[in-house]
Amino acid sequence: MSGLARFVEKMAGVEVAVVGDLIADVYLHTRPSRLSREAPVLVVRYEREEVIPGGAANTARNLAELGAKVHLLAEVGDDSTGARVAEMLGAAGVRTEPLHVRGDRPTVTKTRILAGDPHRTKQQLFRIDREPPRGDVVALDGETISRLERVDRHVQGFVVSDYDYELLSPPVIEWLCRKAASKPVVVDSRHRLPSFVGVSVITPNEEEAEEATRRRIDGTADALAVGRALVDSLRVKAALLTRGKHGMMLFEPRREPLDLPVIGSGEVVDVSGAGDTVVAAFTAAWLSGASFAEAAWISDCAASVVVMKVGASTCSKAELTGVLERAVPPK
Amino acid sequence: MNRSDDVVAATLARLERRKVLVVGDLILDRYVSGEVPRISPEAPVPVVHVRTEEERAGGAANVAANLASLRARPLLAGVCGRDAAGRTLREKVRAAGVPIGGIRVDPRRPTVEKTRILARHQQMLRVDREEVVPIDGATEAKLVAWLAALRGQVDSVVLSDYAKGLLTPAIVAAACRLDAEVLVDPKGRDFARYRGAHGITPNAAEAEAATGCDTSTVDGCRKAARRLIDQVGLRWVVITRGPQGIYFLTAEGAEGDVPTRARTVFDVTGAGDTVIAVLALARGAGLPLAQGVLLANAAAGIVVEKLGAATVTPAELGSALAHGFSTSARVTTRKGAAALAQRLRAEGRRVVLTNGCFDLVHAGHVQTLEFARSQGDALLVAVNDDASVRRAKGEGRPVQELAARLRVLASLACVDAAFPFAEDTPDKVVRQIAPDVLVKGEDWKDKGVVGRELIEKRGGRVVLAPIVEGHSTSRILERIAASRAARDARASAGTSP
Repeated sequence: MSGLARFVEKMAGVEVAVVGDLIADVYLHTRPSRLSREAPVLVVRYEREEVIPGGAANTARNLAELGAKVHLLAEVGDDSTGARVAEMLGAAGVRTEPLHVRGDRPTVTKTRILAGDPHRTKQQLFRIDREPPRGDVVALDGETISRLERVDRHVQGFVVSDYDYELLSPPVIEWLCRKAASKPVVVDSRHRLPSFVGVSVITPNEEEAEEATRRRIDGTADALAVGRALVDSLRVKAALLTRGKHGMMLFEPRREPLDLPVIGSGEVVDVSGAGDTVVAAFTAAWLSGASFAEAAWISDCAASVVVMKVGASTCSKAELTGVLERAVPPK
Repeated sequence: MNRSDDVVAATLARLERRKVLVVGDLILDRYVSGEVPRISPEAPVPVVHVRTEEERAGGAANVAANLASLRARPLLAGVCGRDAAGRTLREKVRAAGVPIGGIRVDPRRPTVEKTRILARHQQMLRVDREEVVPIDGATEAKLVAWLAALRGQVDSVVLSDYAKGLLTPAIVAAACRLDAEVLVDPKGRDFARYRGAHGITPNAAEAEAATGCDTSTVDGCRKAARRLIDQVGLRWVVITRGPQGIYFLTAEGAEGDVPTRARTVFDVTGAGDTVIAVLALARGAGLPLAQGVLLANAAAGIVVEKLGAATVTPAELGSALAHGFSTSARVTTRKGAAALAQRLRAEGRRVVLTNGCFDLVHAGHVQTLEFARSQGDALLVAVNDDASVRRAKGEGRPVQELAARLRVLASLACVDAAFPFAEDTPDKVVRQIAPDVLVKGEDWKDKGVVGRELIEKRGGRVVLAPIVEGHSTSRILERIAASRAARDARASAGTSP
């Protein structure tokens, strides 16, 4: 595997749709101030707020960062956070026309309240989650499917980013599974992997694979068994199992599994969002003509860049090319 | 109408439609409440799942809201930032019936926001967003010009100071040039910056901090008030003393110490805002200070018996003045009850709901209601209207019509609000109020409580109250009928030859 950087160059010609759950990751930076007079609790002073597009939006941003044309089909609430995320996505080059603004639900928001004195590492105090109450928000299957059909005319493939909210309802999942017969559909699903029978590629982490197969992964032998079981039961063309500090494994029907190590010094700073980068890089590489094995290696390289950054973040074309030139792929 | 009613009506009529200007720091109070189902996988901290978010206009805006509720014509001057919180704040102010023409947008500072994070009815954290610096020169100049145009047009002026930078020397001076009495709700220790104003209403702790006098006694209050009158050049000082009532002293030496009228203090939040609003109204109407203090004291007695930062209506004030304290304000509508429940929940209080006919209130009812109240922080009682009682209990019932039944329930110390409903089951009421606890009698054990699923889905619970044997309205009515029959029998026996 050499000259893989050529696939990175070709990513500019890729046009995909990301379908799934958008999450706004908010970091509220504060400074501790005093005790409240209203109740015996801490009063913190607001300093600044950081909003980062997460979930499906992070996958979309990762694809855009690699040069691909991306359409994001997701839902946001009719609120300031939703508007801010949409604006940030637009600025990052993500096409947000298929984004659905719904008045009947809030934007899924995870706000981390961080507190600390200046020039000290801030510590998280609370996480405040805003999400539609489960079961109370109706999935708009018809609306989502007609948006899918509209965007289908433009794209070569779909990336599914499933964080278990209501957009990916059974009829929408069924549409995507059927679509996989004619176009690549790559699925990253938090809790519903078994629903995606017949899609092209799945990219679970160990926890998701364990949940889907009801088998524990404790070492390489288990990982191999679980990976093979997933390929068989879901009838996928490839399964990329990401294993944290153990690297990743690629499974294809009738092929020997490929075991890829973690790349780099191992100074992992933050793994959050690394899965989004993996699915983005893998899809972009595959749609640029790379084999599954080559795409897996490219996504491994992209992951090595992103785990060195704090907060859900992205790997740029230049960064990916840099790693690809230095890293030595396994034989 | 007796003579004292006439006096009250005449006094209240004088207060109506007075133009009172409120100048001060505007605050957006936010309440974010939810549940804590787990610890975050990212860090060892609780994850709060947000259920409700509520915003209210606070600070000087709450004084103006109090005035609007009293049917005065408030004007409000202050600043907010060019941000979402500022837009919300102006919306809330307008919704309270206060014009927003005097609120200037200062693009260089954020709107002052206080966000309380509440979970399981307990405050966990407050996040304050503010930049406490004096307002910038251009904004100040515009406000001063806006104030100057009001000269001779307002009946009184309130300076509501929350120490967020609005009340600069130039603003205070401009407010003092309006040919109207200026009242100050102060902050901090240095009251000399209010020189030019006419009266001041510190609470006991603020008066003590500013003068060094012990304000726990009337003598101490007198010393503190005298010192403030002399040092700041005031006409009068009113010291609010919480459960001890209100003390006042004028420059001429007239003084008084009015005991509090509240029987049960639920919540003192915002009582100071109510006091200065009513005082400003009274002074604007030309009433003597002593009379203003009496009115303000009555109004404060009403708000502290309500839950949540509350306001007072002229009807409530009139009723309190004419008849002493009245619990009639606790009779409300279904919509009013739903709004109250929402407000309470936003503040993290546990709302209890129960329902029934309550035709002839007996010891069993009282026991159940007291039990219900003990299950949370506020008890709302849904009362069947007359038609639905008739359907449930038959012709001849209810004995007492709806208004009477509501009034009796509202007078019970354990009841925070009573309101009517017309359906045969409380299903829709439960949905509307969305209580944390629904209390039913133990006799409902096997009958399937309407609304149970709904409540439990939202994390609330259904509690069955123990039943006291031998009490029921039907039994009382039977006994009355029986004793009448016996008397009639005796009577007819007596007249028989």
